[in-house]
Amino acid sequence: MTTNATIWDDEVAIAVTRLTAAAESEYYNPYQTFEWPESIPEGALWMSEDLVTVHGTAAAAELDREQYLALSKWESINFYSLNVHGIRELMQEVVQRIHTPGFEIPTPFFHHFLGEENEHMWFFAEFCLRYGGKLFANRAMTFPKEQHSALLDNFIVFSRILIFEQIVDHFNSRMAADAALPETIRAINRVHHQDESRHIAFGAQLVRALWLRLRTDGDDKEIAVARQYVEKYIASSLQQLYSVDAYRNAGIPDPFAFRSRVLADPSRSAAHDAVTARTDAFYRRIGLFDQAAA
Amino acid sequence: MKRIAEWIQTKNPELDREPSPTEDLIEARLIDSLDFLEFIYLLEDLSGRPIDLQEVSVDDFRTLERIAHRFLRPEAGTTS
Repeated sequence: MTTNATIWDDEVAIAVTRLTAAAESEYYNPYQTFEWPESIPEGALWMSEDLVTVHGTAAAAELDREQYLALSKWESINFYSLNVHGIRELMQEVVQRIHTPGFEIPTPFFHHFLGEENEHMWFFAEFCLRYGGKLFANRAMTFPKEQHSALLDNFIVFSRILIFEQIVDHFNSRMAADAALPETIRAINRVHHQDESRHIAFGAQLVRALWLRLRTDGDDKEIAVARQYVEKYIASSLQQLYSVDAYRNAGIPDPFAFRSRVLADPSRSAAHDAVTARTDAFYRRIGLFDQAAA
Repeated sequence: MKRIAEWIQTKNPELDREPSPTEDLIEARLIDSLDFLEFIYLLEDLSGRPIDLQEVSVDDFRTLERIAHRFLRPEAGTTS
C-alpha cells in the first residue's frame, strides 16, 4: 500500500530542510515593510502594459487613454483579489494536511507556507481596500468533490497550488521590475515574488514526487484525469484574468461582449503562452505533458 | 435557455443531445468548478443582473429548470 511517507523522496526532504532554513533567515514583518501612501498617483499605470488583457488586441483601439489607465487599475485590483481568494483556498488545503499522517516530511515548511500566505493575503487585500475601495467578489463555487484516491487528490491539490503560484509569479516578477509602475505597486510584487520563489520550489518538489508515484501506482484512468485536470486548471486560471468586473469598472460598454472579443483575439495566444511558459515547462519536465503529446 | 443548453453542449462535445430540463448537471459533471466562471458570466449576461455567490448554492445550478427559475425569470430579481 502506498503511503505519503514513502512518496516523499530524498529530494523532497532536502528541499524542505533548505527552504525551511531560508524562510527562517529571510523572515520579515510584512505589517511594517510597506509604505502605504495616501493614493496611487493620478495618471499612473497600475499594471505592466504587456500584462493588461487588451495588450496586442484590436479591442485596445476602442479605449481612450483614460479608459486604458482605468482598466490597468481594475485589472490590478482583479489580480490582487484573485490572489486573496486563491490564497484562502490553498491555505485551507494545507491546513487540512499539516501534522497529519503521511505529511511529516513537508510539515516543517507547511508552517512557513501558511504563515507567509496569510501575510500575502493581508497585503494584497490591504492594497485593494486602500486604493480600489474594495475586493472583487470571489467567482468560484465549491462543487461536490469527485471521488479520487488520496494520491490523485493530493496531486490535484498541490498542482492547483503550484500552477496558481507560478502564474501569479509571472505577474509579480514582471511588475516588480517595471520602472513604469509606481513604487508601491512594484514593492508588493517584489516582496511577494521573493517569498513565492520558495513556495514554488517547494510545490514543484511535492508535485514531482506525487506524479512519480501516480505514474507507477495509478491506473490509466487516474493518469488521464490528472492530465486533463492540469490542462483545464491552467485554462481556467487564464480565463480568470479576463474580468467582467474590471471591464465594467473601467467604464467599458457591454463588458461581456468586450470580454469575448478580447479572449478570442488571436494575439492572446502568445500572451497566454508567456504566462504559462514556466508551468508548461515544469509539466513537460516531469513527463505529464510529454505523455499527453505521445 | 437555448444558449445555456448550447454552452453545455460546447463544453461537453461528447454529449450528443441537449440536456433535459430536470437532468442533474452537477452529478453528470456537465458543469464543473473549472468552467464555472464562464457559466456565471453567461447567466449574468443573459439575465442582465449580477449574481452574488454568497446568496446562492450549488443546488441553484443543478438543473436547467432550476437555473431558469432562479436566475432567468424577469421577476427573479437581483441576487446581490
